[in-house]
Amino acid sequence: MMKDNIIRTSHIVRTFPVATGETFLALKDIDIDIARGKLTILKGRSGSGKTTLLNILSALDDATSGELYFEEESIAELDCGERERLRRQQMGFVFQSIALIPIMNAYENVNFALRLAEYEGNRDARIREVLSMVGLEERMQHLPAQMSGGEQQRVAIARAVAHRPKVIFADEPTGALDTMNGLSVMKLFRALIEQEGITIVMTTHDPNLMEFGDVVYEIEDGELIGREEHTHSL
Amino acid sequence: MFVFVKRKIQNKKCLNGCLLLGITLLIAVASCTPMFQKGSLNMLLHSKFETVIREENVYPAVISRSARVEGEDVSYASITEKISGYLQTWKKYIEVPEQATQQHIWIDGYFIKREYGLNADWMEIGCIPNMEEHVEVLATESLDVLQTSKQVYPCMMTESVMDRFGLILGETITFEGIVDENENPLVLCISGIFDEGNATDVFWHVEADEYEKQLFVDEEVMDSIIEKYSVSAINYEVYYLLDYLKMNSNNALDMLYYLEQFREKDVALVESISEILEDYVTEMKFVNTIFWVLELPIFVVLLAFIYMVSGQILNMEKGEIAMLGSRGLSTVQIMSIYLHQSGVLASVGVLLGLPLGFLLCKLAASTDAFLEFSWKATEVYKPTVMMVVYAMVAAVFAMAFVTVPVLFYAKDSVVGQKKKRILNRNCSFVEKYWLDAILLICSLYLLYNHKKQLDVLIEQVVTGQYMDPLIFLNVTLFLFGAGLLGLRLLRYSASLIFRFGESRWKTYTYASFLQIIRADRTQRFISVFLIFTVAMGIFNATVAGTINENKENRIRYNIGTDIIVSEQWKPEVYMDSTLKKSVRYYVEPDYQKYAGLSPQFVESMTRVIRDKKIEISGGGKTVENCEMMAIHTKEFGETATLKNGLNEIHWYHYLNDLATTGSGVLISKNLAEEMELKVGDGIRYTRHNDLLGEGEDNKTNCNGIICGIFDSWPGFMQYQYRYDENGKRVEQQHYMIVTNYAYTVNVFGDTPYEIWMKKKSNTSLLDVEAYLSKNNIVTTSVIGAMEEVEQAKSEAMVQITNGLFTLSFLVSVLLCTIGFLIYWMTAIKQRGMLYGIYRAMGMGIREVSKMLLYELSFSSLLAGLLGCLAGFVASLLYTNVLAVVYLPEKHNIVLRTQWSGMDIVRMLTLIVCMVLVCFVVLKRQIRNSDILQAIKMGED
Repeated sequence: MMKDNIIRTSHIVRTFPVATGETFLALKDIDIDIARGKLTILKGRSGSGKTTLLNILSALDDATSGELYFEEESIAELDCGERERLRRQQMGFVFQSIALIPIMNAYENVNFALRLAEYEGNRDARIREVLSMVGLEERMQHLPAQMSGGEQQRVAIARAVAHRPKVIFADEPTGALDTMNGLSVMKLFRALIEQEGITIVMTTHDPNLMEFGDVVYEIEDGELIGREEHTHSL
Repeated sequence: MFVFVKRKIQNKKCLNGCLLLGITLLIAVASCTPMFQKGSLNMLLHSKFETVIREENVYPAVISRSARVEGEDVSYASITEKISGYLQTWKKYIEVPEQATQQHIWIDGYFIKREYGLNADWMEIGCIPNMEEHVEVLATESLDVLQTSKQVYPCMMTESVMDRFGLILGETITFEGIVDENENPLVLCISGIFDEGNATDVFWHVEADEYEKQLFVDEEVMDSIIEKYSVSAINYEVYYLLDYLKMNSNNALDMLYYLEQFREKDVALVESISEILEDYVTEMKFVNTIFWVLELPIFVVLLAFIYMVSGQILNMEKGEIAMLGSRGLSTVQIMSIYLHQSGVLASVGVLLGLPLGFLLCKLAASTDAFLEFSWKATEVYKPTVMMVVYAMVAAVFAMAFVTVPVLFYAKDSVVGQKKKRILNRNCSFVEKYWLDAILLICSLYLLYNHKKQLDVLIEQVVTGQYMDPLIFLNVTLFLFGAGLLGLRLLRYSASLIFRFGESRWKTYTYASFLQIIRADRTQRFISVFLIFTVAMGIFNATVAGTINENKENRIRYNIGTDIIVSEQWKPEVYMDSTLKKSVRYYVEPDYQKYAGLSPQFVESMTRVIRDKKIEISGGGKTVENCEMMAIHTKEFGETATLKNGLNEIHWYHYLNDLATTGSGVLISKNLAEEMELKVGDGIRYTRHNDLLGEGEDNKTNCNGIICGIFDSWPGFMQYQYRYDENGKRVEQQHYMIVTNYAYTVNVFGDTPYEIWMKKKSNTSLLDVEAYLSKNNIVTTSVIGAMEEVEQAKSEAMVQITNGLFTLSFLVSVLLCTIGFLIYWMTAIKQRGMLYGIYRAMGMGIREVSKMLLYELSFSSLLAGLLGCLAGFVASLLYTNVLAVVYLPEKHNIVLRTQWSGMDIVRMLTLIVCMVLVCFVVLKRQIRNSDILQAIKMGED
């Protein structure tokens, strides 16, 4: 059972200092398991703490207290360089802001991630493969500014998945997209899980997307208030 | 509105501070212009007068009138009244204050009957009003003796008159041609001997010694003589000396006009000022042109900087502008916001810029060479009202450069802006249409034309007809083209390197090269700015160095040693009883008087006889007006200086050859060619005795054997110029022979010589002058090479060039450093999200820093190196064409480009420091950036 969870947390607390000199409790004693090869959705209203939790799960941020385990290895024991290596090689990121590198075209954006992860295979073939997977093989020489929001987000997904990370973290990946493009991204996530066996953790507040998730956690005021599991047929 | 504008400024303090700096500098440079220009013109004017003083040894600003008044009723009072009338008229129209007025009234000369000695000479009786205040009485005879008879009037004489006529103090002189009504002749008694009290007293425009046949009486005596002896013809001359230091660019033209009027209405009026003023007016046009063409690049750089910073601000505020537009604000209303903003900055800029302009002017005026300052007097540079006008105009320009670009942003919707951003990534207009190459080709074509017409250009410069500003502007064109081409090369080389190592690069190298290749417009702009600035700095340094160095070399060559003293030689007189006339001859002054200079001030010295009116015959040809230089070979070798490489062999070999042959002569190569002479040939050289005039009887011949032929010699200027009857400048060859001193004196007798001195390193001309004064050595001229060099460095054209080159370089470097830093700081702020992504994806701070360092190095250090290259090429191509404006005449020392290695090292050090400072600041900025915040920024 333990090996089915890629990430595990124990009593995670995250506080932030506020202007009055007091502290704001953003996450309260969170225990969460992220199942390998599944799409886990963190749902909640704006300000509920889902992005804060995602940042801690992805080692972008440190918890004030509590433990985070990635494949049963304590993240707290990793130094800065090891964490960076972990993010480079084992994780992929998709942001709400899309966050493609504006000076690089689609091909180069993906290539950048592969280089960063020190990908050892045939980079060119992999880039073409992932861009083809997201349906953008024809537009690989286009700069982000020359693409629509949906296309940009698909490139971002291709970039996140290219180096075959164990887990992809996506913070409101459909937040900047219209419904059609949002659904298209979610379908792509499902396809990735099924074809590449990747684990995906994403945040959203859109109730229409919950059906795409295998596990859905609900967060409110920094607390986990619910967990649902969905079954998806192959 | 003002509260909104204030918040807008506060919101982007750094960029607005940078904009304020640009505006302030623009206003400062603009307001410094009239002050520096006016000061330089005044310097030019004053230096013209001082050149006349130095070269002709006369006071240059004089209006004079001389006339002879005849008539029965002529009186002393009527003459003084007449003189006073003229003086009043001159004072009325000419605003320049008087320095002194010398009047001289005299009656015709008559043969004299002396109490002692021969009676063969005739003498005049003169009177100089107020003379007593300006003389030193050397000896007097008791007046009691003189006044025993009322028929005898006291008079004074100068020492030279005493020597010339052999008169004795107390001797009576009878003018038998001047008689009273009782036929009693006029009798004067010499009551005193006088000298000019102070050698520097300008009162003595005509020195007392120049009145060679005159006895002086006071005004009362003159009045009495004229009346009692019924003198019917009186001569007078009046010299009105103006204070030329009070002449300036404002009153010069008025003065020129009134002097012309005076001359038209009074044929007896003579003045030496118009010629100088006309010369000044011609050069004034030159100076004004030079001024503007040299200042233009500074203004271009400053306006480009303002445009760049305001562009950066607008780029950051384009969303805000689009939002204001969407809320219904018209383009005019949006522009009005920015007009207010720029108005506030321009107002502060005027307040700061005016005093800064004053300081910049003083700084530019105190330059001695490029980036070299001295504490010389700069009083001639005074603030003017025009500074405010220039400051206001500059402020308006600055406001326009800030406000007008808003027009393009205000018209754009958000979609339009996005489209523009895409277009900006594409090939720029300059690159697409090869504007850089076109500019370079145009510039090179102009250079080719200038080089082809170099003789015409030189002629125009020398005669003061015209100075083509394109000579200077062409360089700016080249540097600008080079900057743009440099950018193209920068991108091409970055692409090439990127392609070459693409598969092997580390991630940060890969990202930084892509960043360089796909640099946006602002980044390209800053690279061009950097290339242009560095290239301009190197070019300016080279041109200034070439002008200064060549000028100095030529001055030192022309003088030939450190100091040349010419002592006054007073001719002696003796009565030749066979010829029954007085004969004048020179006796060498005591040379031992100079011995005291030797241990303390002077390393070595030697006597050098120079005569420029030698006639040379040989090989069936005769050449007149050659220069002869008679030297002690050993001493001369130790004292004179000559740059190496000007002759085929070291000039000491010539000295050795001359030393071995007493009658030997060295001749200049041009003389050898002209007369088809070679070593071993004999020549005859002929001198005139200057005391006896130029008659055939006064010639002395001497034969010599040519023992060497030289190209260059200390003090030998091969090329001389004169103007023909059509006013056209004609180049003339000047010839020289060098002879042995002892042999020359043996043949021609004692003649005045120059004393050449090689000074000790810590000696100044003042030390030598003080010694001469202390030892009562009266000189006709004292020339110091170092002082002449300093004087040349203060020439208006050189001063302007050094000042403006230094100023433009300092301004450019300041702008470049600040502009560079601000660009990168804002760029990093703008790239905050990008760096956040890099960090989130697992890139460490060290890798991001390396990426930045590569980008900085490639776009800045390489731009700096390209700037150096462009500066070198520009210097190689253009320096000699430009330098002819300053050194148009041919010279034994051929104009050579002087590379100033130190200036280049300074400049590169500055760029490296600039990049390092930027890197440190930016690294700190990256370290302090928060990944989560950066990503969040993207969401916002």
